Amino acid sequence: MKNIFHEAIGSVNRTNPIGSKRQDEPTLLVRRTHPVASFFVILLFALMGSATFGQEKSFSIPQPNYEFQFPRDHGSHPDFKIEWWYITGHLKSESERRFGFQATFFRLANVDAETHIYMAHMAVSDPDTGTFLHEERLNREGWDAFSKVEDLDLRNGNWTLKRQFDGEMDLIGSVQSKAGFSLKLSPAQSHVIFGKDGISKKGADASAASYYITYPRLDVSGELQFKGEKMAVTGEAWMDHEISSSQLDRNQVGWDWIQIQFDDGRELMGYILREEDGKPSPFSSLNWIDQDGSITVQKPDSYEWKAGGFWKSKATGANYPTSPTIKTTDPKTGKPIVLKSRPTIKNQEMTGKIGGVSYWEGAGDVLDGSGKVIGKSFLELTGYVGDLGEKLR
Amino acid sequence: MKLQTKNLNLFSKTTLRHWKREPKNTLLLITVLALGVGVFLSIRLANRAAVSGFTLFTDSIAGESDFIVRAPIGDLPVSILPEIRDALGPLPVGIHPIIETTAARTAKTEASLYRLVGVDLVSLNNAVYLEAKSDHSKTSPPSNQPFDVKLGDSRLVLIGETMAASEGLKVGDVLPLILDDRRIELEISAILPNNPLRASIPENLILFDLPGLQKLIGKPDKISRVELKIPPGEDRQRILAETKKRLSEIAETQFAIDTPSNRESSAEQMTAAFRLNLTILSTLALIVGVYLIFQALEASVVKRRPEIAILRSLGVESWRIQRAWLFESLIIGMIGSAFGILLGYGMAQLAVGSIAMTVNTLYFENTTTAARLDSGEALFAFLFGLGSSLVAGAIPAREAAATPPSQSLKSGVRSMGLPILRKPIIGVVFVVAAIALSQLPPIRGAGDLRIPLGGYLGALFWLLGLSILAGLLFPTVRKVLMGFSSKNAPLKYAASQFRNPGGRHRLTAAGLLVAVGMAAGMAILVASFEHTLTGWIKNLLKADLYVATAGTSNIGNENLIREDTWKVVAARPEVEGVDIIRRQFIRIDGKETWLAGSVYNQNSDRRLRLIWVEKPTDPNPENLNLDLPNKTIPVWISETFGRRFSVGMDDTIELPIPDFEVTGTVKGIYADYGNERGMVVVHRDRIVTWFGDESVNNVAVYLNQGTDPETARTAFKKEFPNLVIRTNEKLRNESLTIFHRTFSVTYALEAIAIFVAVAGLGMALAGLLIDRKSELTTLKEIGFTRRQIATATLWEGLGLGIVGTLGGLILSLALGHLLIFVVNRQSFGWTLDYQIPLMSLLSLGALTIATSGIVAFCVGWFGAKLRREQEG
Repeated sequence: MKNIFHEAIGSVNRTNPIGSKRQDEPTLLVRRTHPVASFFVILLFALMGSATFGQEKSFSIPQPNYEFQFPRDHGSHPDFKIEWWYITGHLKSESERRFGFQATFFRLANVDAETHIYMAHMAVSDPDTGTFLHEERLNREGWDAFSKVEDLDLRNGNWTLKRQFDGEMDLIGSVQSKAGFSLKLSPAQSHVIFGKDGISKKGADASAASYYITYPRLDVSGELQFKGEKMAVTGEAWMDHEISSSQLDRNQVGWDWIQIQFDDGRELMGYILREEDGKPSPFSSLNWIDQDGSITVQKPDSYEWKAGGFWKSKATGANYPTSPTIKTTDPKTGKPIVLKSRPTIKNQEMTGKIGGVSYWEGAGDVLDGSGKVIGKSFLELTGYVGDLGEKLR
Repeated sequence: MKLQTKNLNLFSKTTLRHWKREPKNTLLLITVLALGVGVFLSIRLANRAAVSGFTLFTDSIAGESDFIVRAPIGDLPVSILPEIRDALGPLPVGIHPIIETTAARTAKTEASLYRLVGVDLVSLNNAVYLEAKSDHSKTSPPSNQPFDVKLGDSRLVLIGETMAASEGLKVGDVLPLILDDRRIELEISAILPNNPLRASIPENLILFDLPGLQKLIGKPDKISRVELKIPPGEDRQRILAETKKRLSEIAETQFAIDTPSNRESSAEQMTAAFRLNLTILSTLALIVGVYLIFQALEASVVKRRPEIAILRSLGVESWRIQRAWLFESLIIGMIGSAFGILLGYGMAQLAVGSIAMTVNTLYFENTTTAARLDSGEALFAFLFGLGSSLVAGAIPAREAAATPPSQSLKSGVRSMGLPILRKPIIGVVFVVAAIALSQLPPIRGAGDLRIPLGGYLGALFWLLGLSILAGLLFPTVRKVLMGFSSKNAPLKYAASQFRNPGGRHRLTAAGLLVAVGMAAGMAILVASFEHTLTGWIKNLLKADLYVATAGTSNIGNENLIREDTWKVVAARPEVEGVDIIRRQFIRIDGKETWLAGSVYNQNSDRRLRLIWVEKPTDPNPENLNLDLPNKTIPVWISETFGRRFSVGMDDTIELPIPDFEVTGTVKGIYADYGNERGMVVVHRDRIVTWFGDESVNNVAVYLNQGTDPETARTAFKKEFPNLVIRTNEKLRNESLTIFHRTFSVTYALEAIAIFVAVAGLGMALAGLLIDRKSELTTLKEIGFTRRQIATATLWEGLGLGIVGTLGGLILSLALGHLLIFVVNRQSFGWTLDYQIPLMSLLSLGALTIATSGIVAFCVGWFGAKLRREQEG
């Protein structure tokens, strides 16, 4: 359920930027920024034209008890408006150097429901030097950006993610000419599907839902080039594949999301959807995944998500709570548990120069109440920059 | 330190005092040097601007590309894009397909051309984003005024701030244009701000979203080129090398790989000969300036001899005096050169339009509007001016130092000038050397560049040789002057000066000779060019009406007349027949040239006649359609093509036609003064087969006997309002206008050279009068009036003018010959007929002599007055 577009859609919903202009063609909003910075800064969500709740006649909506077929459902679903493949993980070099990485591919249907825009983000973080490298990219559908329907096969420029016959996935990514990686991702655990009856609900509205497929643990091996240095790496990653046409409710302004890979072999995916009044939406949840793939869901009334470790971005001015503490009950032991996520670096912000939406997405460690490290995490924080609705008015 | 103080004292006591006493003289000297440096710099700056106007659009929007991929001929298929991406694999290379064409504002021949550029506006963001990141700039908060751009629309466009300002366009305005042979209307959807850190968005650039322009020009599956950008980072160099390697592996014959720097350098190479010619020409002004400084400093040595003598008597060493004089020329050089840089920058702005127009006409389309002050060029010009001033000051300085105190005190001693000028034998040796040097072959530089070094050195030796030999004319001039009247006292006095002319006389005459010689030499070149061109045009333009797209005078024009249009033209009842031609850019051995296919009118006796440099055995153009026994095809090439690609008769050329293996054999070489890139001509049917496109660039229409061309033109224009239709006469006139414009810079330079030379004459005569101070006093004592003294100076000036002009005209014949048969042929590959524009040369001569006389009279008039006042 992780993504920045919820926010965008929510905003579009409030204020239609295109108004009554011709809506039969894809539209690009170009914003004038600092003359040195760029001539074009695209408010990505505007590419989706006048998409709003209740106007999505041409897009499909997730249905209960949908019969997933794999590998077909690892591929693209162009009849849905929004889709993404999101990989976050932790790498270790032979010399025990640690890195975090993110590789995300987005597909966004234009209002004509026939053409698509592809956005992608890549990031590599190096806690040793405190370096966070990231790059954003945008392409129209075609020779340089696509998502195949029949199986997982994605491209956005030189960035690719492709599933092989043996179920392994090949990921190629880079950040400018500063970092590059070529990784093999092997599922250490079968994929899981979140939500009741195969639907992950995000709000009261029937359309605010998604198909949410996750590989909670992928073994990673491959090669990383970082600032001119080439090294063999191994590690673990998490992959989300989410398909929807709209997800958020009108009163939601953003969310805090986390994935945790515990050292004991279990995982957790949790989030709070933040409402305008600052309260968590009742559709927030914690999802514990046992080694056998079974999922235990905890509702917001049974856990506490406490913001902490604020870091203020110089680039965007956002104040991100990068070190949240979750208090809940461990479903395995039935005892209370404290989970504190601590980022490897404070600055892991995706500044949103092209997409127009800034968010924080970063690697971290998870500590228990005694301060012992019990796993690794990836935290996502959205909706902390300005008022998107204002930008669009 | 002590030494420096002494020098400074000497300087302030001699030079500064002198400057204060005669500020006008010093001012003139500085002005002349400034003018010389200014002209030299302005031409170089304007040239630089004209060539750098040739930039890729991405330079101004997303920074410079690292590689450019383009087809050897025509467009690339879009299918090349995934092929390139696959070949590059994981390399983080931004691949930006671009489609480009031109359109004109109005249906006029010389309508300004717009570059319509289609680029993927979505992916362009990535390049801009990376560029912004690499700028390490702080971004200011974004404004809340979004641009609304429709993707894929073939009507909505973006333009740059400069164009919007100069044409008064704003968002929402409609911009009508002529594209090919039709009228289109575009709507401005956004105005892109200029980036202060990069080249401005070219004023004539109109930006489309790629699919929009593809749709507009009916090429949905084609692109003009692909620009590749590699993002910044530690690994960039490795990625650059790897990208180049991988591209080369798949390039084969399907595309050529270029970098912007070698593209710009190839543009520089192409115009190198042109620029070299202009630089040499601008040096002329400086050379004459050097003469002048020499004269002036020498004059001050003469004038200040008593001063020097006193200094020497006081025990000031001779080397110190020499240094003081050199110091003076250094100061003049510095001030003059500094002013020259300012002047040059200003003049460059005036010259740039004219030079850019020439480059547009002859070489490639560019968008220059202003010349920038290049620090390297400015420094070069400054040092050149300073060096010239020092060289000019060296001999007078030595002379000043070498003169013994006793002699210095003697008033009225004539200056020696350059001793070399008194040795005619050296002049003869120089002329022989000049003739020998001009026989040398050109020196081959990078690419197309051929430097006719022998020709230039020959010109220099002619100049020096005749400068020396001109002294031989003085006795004759004296006789002529005496012939007018042996009783006229001022005349007699003037003539007596030429009995044994002093160094100053010889030097002044030499200065004039150089200016007149070079100006007249250029006049000969221009006249020969014009004569050749007129003949060529006459042969070439046999038809009655010429139909073309707007903006045809610009070589970058890519507009075409579509099949359904030109066929309607050809089918009109008043048409007897048509010649059609289709031109296409082609890259052979990495160099851009033209491939043309023609079909000539067969219905009329009137035919286009090419001027053959090497005549084909079968001159029937229709037979170009027949293959040769050796399985190659017959082609005709232009003389320029032959020179650029080093091919001659019966040589073969591989033509890189996609999907075809074509080898041409040269079966004829014709003269073509219309373009500098060269051209290969094949039968048009072959072009149609190869490219499947029936469009043409030009249609020459032969009307039925008795049809009035003007009436027919009016009727045509009514039916085809978006085409340029010219009568034979109009086209001829336009061709010549363009030609003259090409030489407009030349004319300006000549005028400046003559001006500088005449100013020199004035200064020289003023110096002579000072030299002859005692003589003048005597003359006045024996009853010479002020008027008579002025008349005597007038005759003397006329005499000098005559020697300089006559010598200059002789020099011009030699220089003209060199320019036409050595320099031009070697550097441009153009054969011209040698023509002497008698009337122009005579007028130039008469004007120079007359001006010399007037200036001389004025000098005499004011000089005589000054004397009296001073004496009183």
